[in-house]
Amino acid sequence: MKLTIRIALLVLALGLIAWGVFAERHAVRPLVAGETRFADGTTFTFDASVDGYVRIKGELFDAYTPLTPGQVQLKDCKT
Amino acid sequence: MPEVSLWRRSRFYASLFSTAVLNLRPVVALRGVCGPALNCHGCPAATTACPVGVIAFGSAMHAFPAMAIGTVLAVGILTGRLVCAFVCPFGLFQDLLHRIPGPKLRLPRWWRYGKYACLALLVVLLPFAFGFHVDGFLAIDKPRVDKDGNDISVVVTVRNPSPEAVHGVDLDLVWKDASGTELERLPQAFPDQVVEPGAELVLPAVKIPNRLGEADLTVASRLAVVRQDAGLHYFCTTCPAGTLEAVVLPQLARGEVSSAYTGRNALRLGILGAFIVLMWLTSRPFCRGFCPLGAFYGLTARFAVSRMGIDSNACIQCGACDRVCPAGLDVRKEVGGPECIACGDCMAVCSQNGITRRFGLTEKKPT
Repeated sequence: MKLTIRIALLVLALGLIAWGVFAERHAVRPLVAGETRFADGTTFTFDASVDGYVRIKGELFDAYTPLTPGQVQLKDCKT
Repeated sequence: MPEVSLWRRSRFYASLFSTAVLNLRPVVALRGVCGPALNCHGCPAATTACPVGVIAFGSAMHAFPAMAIGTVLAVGILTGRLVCAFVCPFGLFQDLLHRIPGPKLRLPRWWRYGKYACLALLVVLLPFAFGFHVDGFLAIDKPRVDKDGNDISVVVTVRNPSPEAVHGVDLDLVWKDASGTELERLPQAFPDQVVEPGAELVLPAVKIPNRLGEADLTVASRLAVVRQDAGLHYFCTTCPAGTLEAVVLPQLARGEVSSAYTGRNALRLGILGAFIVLMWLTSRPFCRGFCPLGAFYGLTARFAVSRMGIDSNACIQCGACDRVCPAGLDVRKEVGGPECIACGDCMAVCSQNGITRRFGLTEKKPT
């Protein structure tokens, strides 16, 4: 019995790792307009910290999305 | 069998080596994969990600971290709790502190169940149920600028993509030169403005001196940053290993002694301090009572490919194994079980060679 469980758990572990490497996909949207990207297992692991993603209404958003317009080049303003 | 002190020394060097390998980020960065031991990836030196951190984060995000769970399951099923004894940097820290002479105590039996509660509640269930608290934040659009005599009129539009309303908007209009050096910062406050979730708001025009000929204008705001609070229901918030590795040691390495230890930080340091005292008084109190990874590996220990076992017929009931066990076990009954960290100290001290480490898929009796 233990042998069966041991082999089953080993297969499950290897299956999860294989899934993580090849098939794990988490949809991550930018907080402002832009395309949804998909984080695989390694990307999700890399970003796994409080300032990585935000969950809003059941969806994951990229907390690193720039929220300011950055350097606004207004030198050409002729108005 | 090797002498116990020699065995312990080799275990110490193995842990030291693992600690070094798990903290090599300046040389090797593998943050995309989980290491086998509790080693906070908030630490600037951490080579790999902490599996507990990744799983807790996955729970909070309602995302299944297959790779992290697969990794710890694979490590657990191959080695049981061997990692606790030979790899874990925090285990090494606990062993070192316990070597300091002084009064030594035994932990009560119920202490061991705490780690299963930590795993179930603080890593899986509570983060899943409550997630993180997200403060309101704003996205700022490119401002509209109109000339107004010698001044310019700046109109900023903000949007609220967060789930919380924002009460009062603060902006900084910043003049920067071509090299990006800040020349002037003009704080603007709109205390009466409320931006509901999903709403867009055009703020009243702001009139500022025109420096467009010499500088660029940037709009910044402290509200244009996502701030989340994980809360005390999230294991990593109070994890003493994380506090040591990601807060205290980096500060010491930078030669800083922060005075900002108030509120949450004070609590974290208090928990670490309490564990440090406990580690001196008793052997591996965190491992035995609070480590969620130890709990997970413990659940797999009985089915592990590498596991400890005892030949009851060889045992002469001398009790030497109990005296050296760092997990404080009744070795004759509990060796190889979920509480056994498979350190092998009992194996080294057994005069009858009755305790062995077994490898293999099948249940072969020791010869």
